[in-house]
Parts: sequence; C-alpha cells; structure tokens
Amino acid sequence: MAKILIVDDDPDFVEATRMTLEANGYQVISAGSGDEGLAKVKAEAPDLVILDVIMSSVLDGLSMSQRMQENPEHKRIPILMVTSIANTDYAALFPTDEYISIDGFLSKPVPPAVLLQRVAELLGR
Amino acid sequence: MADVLHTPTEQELRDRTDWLIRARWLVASGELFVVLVANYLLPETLPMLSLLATIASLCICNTIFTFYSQQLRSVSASSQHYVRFTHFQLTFDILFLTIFLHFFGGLETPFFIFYLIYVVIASILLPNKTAFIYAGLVSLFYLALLILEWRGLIPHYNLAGFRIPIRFQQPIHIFTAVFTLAATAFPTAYFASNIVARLNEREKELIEANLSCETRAQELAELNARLERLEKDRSQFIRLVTHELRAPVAAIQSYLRLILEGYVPPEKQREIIEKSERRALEQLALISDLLDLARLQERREEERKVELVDVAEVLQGVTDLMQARAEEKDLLFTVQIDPGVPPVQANLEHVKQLWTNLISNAIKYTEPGGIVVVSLSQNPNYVVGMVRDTGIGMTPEQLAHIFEEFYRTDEAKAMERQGTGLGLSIVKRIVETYGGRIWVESEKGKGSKFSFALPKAPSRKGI
Repeated sequence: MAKILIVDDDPDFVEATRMTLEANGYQVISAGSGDEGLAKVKAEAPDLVILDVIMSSVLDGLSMSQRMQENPEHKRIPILMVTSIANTDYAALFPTDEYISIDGFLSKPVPPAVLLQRVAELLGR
Repeated sequence: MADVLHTPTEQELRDRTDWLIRARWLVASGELFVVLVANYLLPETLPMLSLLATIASLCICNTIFTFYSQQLRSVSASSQHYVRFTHFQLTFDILFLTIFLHFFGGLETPFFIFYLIYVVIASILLPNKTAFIYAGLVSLFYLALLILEWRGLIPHYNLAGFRIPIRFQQPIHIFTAVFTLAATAFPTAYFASNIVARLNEREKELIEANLSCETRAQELAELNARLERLEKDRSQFIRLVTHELRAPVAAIQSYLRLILEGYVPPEKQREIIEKSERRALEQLALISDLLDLARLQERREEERKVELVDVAEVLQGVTDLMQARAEEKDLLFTVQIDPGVPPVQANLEHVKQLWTNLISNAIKYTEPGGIVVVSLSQNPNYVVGMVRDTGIGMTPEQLAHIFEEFYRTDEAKAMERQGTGLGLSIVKRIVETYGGRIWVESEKGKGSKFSFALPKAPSRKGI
C-alpha cells in the first residue's frame, strides 16, 4: 500500500485530500509546514509527496522541495505540487535562477478524479 | 563645483605653463626674424651682436623654464606654485623685451607694441584684473628705459636713416610714446580679460548645465526605481489577496465535490458541511477586512466622516462586548480609563474597529487563565491607548512583519485557525490616517503590548 505525505497548512485541504486518497486504499500522513514535512519524509519515507507551494511563506514549499533534492534518498520521491494560485501567476512566484524539481502540478481545488489519476501515474513510474 | 573655473585645476595650470613656454619660442623666432629683416633694410645700423645675444639668452632662459616646469610636474606642485611661476615668467619676459627694445633703438623702434602680447597673455593666464597690473608694468618698464636713455645713464642706439637721432632727448616724444603704449595696453587688458571672463562664464554655465542634467537623470532613475518597487509590492499584494481569496473557496469546493461523489459517509456529512460553512464565514470576514483596508487607503479626508470621538466612551462600549469572550476563556480582563481624556478627531467606526481588533487579538492569543489589560491615558499632545496581554508573544523577527497584510505567525495559526491576517494592518492604517502612531513590544511566550497614540483634537477654545 502506497504511503502519501500531504504537506499543506490548510487543514481542510488535508482533510479533503485524505478522504479521497484513503477511500482509494492509500495510506495518508500529513504535515502543516515545510519543516514538519521534511521531518516526516525522513521518518516515514513516503512514496509520494503532495506539496502546497504557498504555505506560511511562498518559499516554504519551494525550499522543502529543494531540500528534498539535496538528499539522494529523498530525491527519488515524486512531488506533486498543489497551489491555490491561478496558473498564470504561478510562474512568477518561482525564483528564476533556481531549479525546482517537481513531477506534477495541480491547481486547487483539485477534482478527486484528477487527483487520483495523477497520484496513480506518479506512483506507477 | 562652481569654483572650478575661478580656481583652475592643476592640470589646466600645467597646460597653460606649457603653452606659455611654447609661445616664448615663437616670440624668440619672431624677434630673430625682425632683427634679420631690420638688419637687411638698415645695414650696419643695429648692434647685431647684442641683439642676437639677447635672443640667445632668451632661448637659454626658456630652456631653463622648460626643465623647471617638468620639475613642477613631477612634484605635482600646487596651483599657487604655478601662479607664482607664471608671474615670474611674465615679468622676466617684459624685462627681456625692454632690453631687446633698448638694443633696437629705444624710443625709435616701432616694436614696443610687442609689449601688448604680454598684456594679452596675462589676461588669459592670470585671474581677472591681473592684466591691468601688467598693462601698468609694461608702461613703467618702457618709461624707465626711455628716461635712462634720455638722461644718458645708458647708451642710446640710433636707428640711423630711420629716425632722427635727437628724438630720444625730447621729453615730449618720451611722453607721447609711453602714453601711446599705456593708452593701448590698458584697453587691451580690459577687452582681453572681458573676453576671457565671458568665455569662462560660458564654460561654467555649460558645466553647470551638464551637472544639472546629470542630477535630473539621477533623480528620474531613483523615481523610476521607487515606482518599480511600488509596482512590485502591488502585484505581490494582489497575488497574496488572490491566494487568500481562493483558498477558502477551493476548500469548500473540495468538500462539496467529496460529498457529491459519495466519498463522505452519511454520518460524517454534517461535520464536513460545518467545516465548509466555517470557511465561507472566513471568506466573508476576509472580504470585509479587505474592503475596510481599501477604503482606508483610498478615501480622502473630506469623504471620511470625521467627528469628535470620545475614545473612552468607545472603549467602554467595546469592552462590554469583549467581556463575555474574556470570561469564556477564563481571562483576567481589566480596563483602566484615566478620567478626563479629551476627544480625538476621527471616524467613530474606525476608533471602534481599532479597539476591537487590538482587544480581540489579545483575548484570542492568550491562553486561558492569562491576563489582558487595556488602558487609556493622555500625554500633552496625544491620547494614548494600550492593550497588554500575557499571551503567546512574538520573536523579534516576527515583530518586524506583524503589521504586514496577511502576516500571521505560525504560533498564532496553530492557536487560532480563523484569522485573515489583516486586523493589525487595518489598525495601523487607522492610526496613521489620523496622524498617530502605533508600536508594539513583545516577548515570545511572555506576551505582547500594543500601544497607540492619536493626536488630541484641537481645543474649541483655541479656535
């Protein structure tokens, strides 16, 4: 059973996503900040991370994904980014001189069917 | 910068000195040419040996000047040095020319107009009125020469066949010659220094115009940079607003979809709907705060309903509303209002909002059993309000951001899910709108103290 870590400071988003994923047989763990997320990545070795780019600060989600890249063990864990910023604004938020590794990107609200499909894709690789 | 032309730079003085030395070579060759032509026209008349020796010694002296100038350059002499050197050279030149004229016939030679060259040079090289001194000096030297010859103190060389030899013995001729020289030299000094002064003035204006252009350009660049920063802040703000506005709607929509698609078991549906409602209320609060903020930002003073507001009375009203909440949380809630606090000039709703936001924050972020103290007092010019709590407090880094829109500390979020992060931005803007200021002291885990000062309304008696 695949283990999925949701990192988001919005508990309602965590709850909704958890319900969708658990109903489909995934094991779900969650974290409310980038730091907590990194700790859970280390402790629980999830198979997939669903990450909100904009938590308390814009860079929280970004720096978490970057720090995951620094660790060879965590580098292989796919990251699915989710944000409530409209698509067009999304690009402007990223520091252009830094490489951000993400495997997929979704905009909130995420329809359950789309979420499940992307999760299945990323886990199936 | 404006003095640049009145006190020439060392570089300019060096250039002028070099130019003077080059001009002297020219003068020497000119004199040699004149002597040779005169000797051809009036053979056997001129004391050729003396004249050639004079020119030769001029050349020798000029060589010495050349070396001296190089020496001045190597020790990077001061501008005073250069001015003194120029004076010395000019005086030397005039003395030399006088000797040259002496051998060339004294009163009889027409070449005394050579003197004018030095008056012109002085106007160019030396400060403003110095040229007049040289006009006087050349007249004096010439007069001295003629008097010495007339009195027989030095020999007179007659330009035989060109002038009658007794002329130099007649004071009237001496007077005429010196008068002619002086009458030419002084106007020359006047015109030459005027022209030079005007040229300098133009150059100065040009330099100043350039400078002011540069200043203007710099100012424009700064203004532009400031506008760019503002624009960046503005789009950052819009992005934040978009994010904050989308988040609750996205959460509600996710919940609705879950229910619609049958992910939520019937016994859990009520809970999910309640959570959705909470997010909807959060959204409404956010929109209302954003509207307040926008109004505070945009409305001009005449559009705001400003009246005399009794801050104590407003505080009393707000306190009555807050009392219940404080009791719910088992807080020790005290209000101290100094008697006789004068009114302020403000909008009643704004003052109400100011107290409400500060006090509700204090109640929200203080653990049960804590203390919240509100006080109102005055100092000579201001009405001073203070809200102190024994709540979660803030680190110095968090303090630096506390008045920013949407900023909430992680501890605040952990303690109270609800919150737009706009309450303190609104408070700050209200206080500043009425010419007051707000400050905050806080220690993490110990509590916070928000204080504000609003200017007292001008007393009616004074009007």
